[in-house]
Amino acid sequence: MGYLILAVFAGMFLMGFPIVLAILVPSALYIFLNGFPVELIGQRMTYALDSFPLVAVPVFIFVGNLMNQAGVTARIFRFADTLVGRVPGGLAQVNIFSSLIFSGMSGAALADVGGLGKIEVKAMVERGFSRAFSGAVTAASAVVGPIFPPSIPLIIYGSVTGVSIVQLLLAGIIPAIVCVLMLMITTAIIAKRRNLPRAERWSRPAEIRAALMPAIPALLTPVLLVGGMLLGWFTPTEAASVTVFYVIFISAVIYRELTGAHILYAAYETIKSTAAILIIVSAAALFGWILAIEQIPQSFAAALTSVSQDPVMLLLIVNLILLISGMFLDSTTATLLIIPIIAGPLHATGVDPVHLGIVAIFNLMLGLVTPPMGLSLFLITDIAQVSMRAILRAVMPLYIPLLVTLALLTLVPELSLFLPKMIR
Amino acid sequence: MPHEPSAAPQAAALPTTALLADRILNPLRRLLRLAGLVILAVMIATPMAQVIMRQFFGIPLIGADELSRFMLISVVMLAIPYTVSSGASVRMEEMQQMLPDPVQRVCRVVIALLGLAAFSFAAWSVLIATLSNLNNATPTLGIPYYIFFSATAVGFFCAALEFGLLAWKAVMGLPMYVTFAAEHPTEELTL
Amino acid sequence: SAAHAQNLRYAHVGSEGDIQHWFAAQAAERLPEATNGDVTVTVFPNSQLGGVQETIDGVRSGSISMAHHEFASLAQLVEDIAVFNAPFIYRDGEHALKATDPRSSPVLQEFNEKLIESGNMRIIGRLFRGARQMTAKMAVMSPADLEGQPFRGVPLQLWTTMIKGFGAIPTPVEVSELPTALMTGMVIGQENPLTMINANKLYEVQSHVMLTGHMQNVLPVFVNEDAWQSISEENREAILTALDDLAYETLETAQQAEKDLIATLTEKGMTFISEDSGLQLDEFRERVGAQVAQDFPSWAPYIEQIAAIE
Ligand code: NA
Ligand code: NA
Repeated sequence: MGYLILAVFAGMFLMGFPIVLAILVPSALYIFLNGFPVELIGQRMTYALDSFPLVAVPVFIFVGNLMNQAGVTARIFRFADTLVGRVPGGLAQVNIFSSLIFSGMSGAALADVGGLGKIEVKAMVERGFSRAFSGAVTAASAVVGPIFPPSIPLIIYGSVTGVSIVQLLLAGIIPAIVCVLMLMITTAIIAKRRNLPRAERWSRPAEIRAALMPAIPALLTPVLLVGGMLLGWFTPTEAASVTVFYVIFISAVIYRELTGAHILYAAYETIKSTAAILIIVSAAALFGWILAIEQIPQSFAAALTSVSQDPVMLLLIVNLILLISGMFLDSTTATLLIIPIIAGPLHATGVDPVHLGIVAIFNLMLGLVTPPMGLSLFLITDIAQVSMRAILRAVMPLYIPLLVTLALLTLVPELSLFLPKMIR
Repeated sequence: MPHEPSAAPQAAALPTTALLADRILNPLRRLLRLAGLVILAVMIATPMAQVIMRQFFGIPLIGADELSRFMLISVVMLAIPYTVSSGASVRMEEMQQMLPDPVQRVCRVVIALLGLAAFSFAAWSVLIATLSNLNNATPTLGIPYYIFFSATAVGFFCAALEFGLLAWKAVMGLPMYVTFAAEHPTEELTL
Repeated sequence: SAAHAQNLRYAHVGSEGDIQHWFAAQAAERLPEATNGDVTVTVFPNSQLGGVQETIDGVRSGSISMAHHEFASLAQLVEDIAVFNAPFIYRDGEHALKATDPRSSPVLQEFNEKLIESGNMRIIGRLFRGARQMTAKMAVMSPADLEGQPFRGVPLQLWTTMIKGFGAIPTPVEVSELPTALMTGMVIGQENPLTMINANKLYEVQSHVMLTGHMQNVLPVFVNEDAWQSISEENREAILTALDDLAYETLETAQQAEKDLIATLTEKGMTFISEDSGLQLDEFRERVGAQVAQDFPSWAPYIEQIAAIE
């Protein structure tokens, strides 16, 4: 019966059903047919959201939306230009480096593509890059957004597994930097081969200073966030709320660009994407309940540990499962359905749950730039006005640095654990 | 790409039953969006207030996190109909779009009808849950269950309504999704 | 009879390694034995079927057959039942088990009647999880040492009351964030059974354990009333006996574990402070008692009744 429900879910999902329906319809049927109390549906779906860590999700979505409304993104881009515009690859490098800075304020990859991405593609195309390559670099570099703190996927991972969110957020810092370095090196190699345009000369210190000044408040956001959590001033959820007030303050008082209409627009967008993401959390909880009753996680865990007891081997298997799931499922659904099943057995064989979190979330973020269900790819074809085929061809070489990063994160736990270990 | 719909078909000069239904539903939609806005604001402000009270005055706000959680539930549940009517639900339509047009239309009708059925059932489930817990309440603030579950009930019920309307539009071959004017940003950002 | 055995879905939020987990697993083994296979039990640990509030609602509606959790979590269904969680109310672990015996304690039976009435569930057993002790990043001798300090409390009124009685500022922190919050100094101390302190490696972020034993942590085991009534009278009696035996085994295990853990945690660098080394336990008892009397005036008669149990 349990596997039948999974099959119905997969069928409905492929037919284009909204994910919430693909989960809700078979679950409701199961509860009805097995004579479980019908109130289970309403209770389970409501209680799934009764979680303080999850409160940070809409708040960080709001921060990202505000940032895209408040002219902060353009300043970040200009500042990155003075720093790395002369590196081979020019604006492509600026594009990647901007994503790292932007990720310090945003918790979602799509906020990066949808907001900063518009500016990046426009600037690159104006300076003679192809639309496809501009779009590909934008989509690939947006992967670091949810790895560097703040991060909505890591918050969801923490709330599902009960792993410390502060530790998860700290753990993402070094991996995000590694990923950006890999992307920049690859882009430099591509640029040398194709002789891509770059800035005429390195920026002078005075120019860097001039670009830095308007970007400072934005750069301070992650410092405030991480510092505040490290000093014990606030929890991640509180940090999210503090960040909102901080961003409104800097954009309204220092940048003087944020209007009431901007805030209102950002708020409506936030409500819509929050509901779109968290209703899946809610429905998946019902699904998880049924899978637990059917003992599916237990039998899967037993199967997994019967294959191997070696943590590295298990991590590789899990990576393969996640990579394939990430191609088809969106990252939230994949996190909610797969992580609760694999976390237990991996933890039991000695894999650190914080390490697993970084590997799993980075892996699922790759699903944003892989077909068939690559949300970043869909969004960027729209923004860059190119065909999916052209984007796919352009993004292909960028899979190499992303996969190398995944391998490094999997095999070198210290990359993730070095910072969180300092507060253990 | 379903998650961030680009400019949805505008409900322009087609005075039909479905559009009349949209006009009737619009005040309700506005009300839900406004409620969502207020709740979002409270939810964002509560943890900030908690930090200020604790760090500067050494006073804990007992129940503040329960309030935030309740607000989260409410904002999500009340916005479900919004995601349905604006076509913002997360889904993958790539396979469906490879099918011939008439089959696609059948798919749209079937999906909307199952949405209507599933959310009606879910709304009924919430009703039963509330009625059998009339003497129950949340642990810290003592929020009664009929309030705690009210957003879920309203959200599920209105989602069923919106799916019903989508089914009708799909049958008639009308533009499916509606968006509000205020949703479009006022100005483009320049470099 | 095993062909149409009744299966009970037993849910709890405890993780593996906790005594809760052992108790539930043992119940799953012994109830079929005690009932000749008429009743079987499937355990769902680790919040698999949902968190605390959901578990209780689940038992009420029957989607979950039985569960265990703190008495205080039932307070929305039966007023004042959290009195069984009250700090400094039991003389020792044995007294705690006697006071919560569903077959012999008049206080518990009184609450059980109300629980059946308003919650469609009844308490059929309990388990002993150990005494809760205080830890901090410094030595705490009396409430004065905690004056104005943020101290972690479960976000329930009872804990707020107790921690105020300790002299500290009650501050809610999620369990998953507790080690981090102690490390960063968001809170300077917390209170939990020694097993939890060891399992969550709090010795890495806390230096002192104060043997306050302020709460004898007894968790009630409750069952959906319809499920209970569908079991034969004979089998119900057998189940009550099996669970009672198990309760005393958890007491023994917990008390032995506590002795072992004092040695283990000392080895890991923690300093233990008891009345012998200057802990002003009476001062804590008095201050907390006064705060409880002020915040929960309706508990007074129950506190007396519990004290009267031999
Ligand atoms: Na980020
Ligand atoms: Na970028």
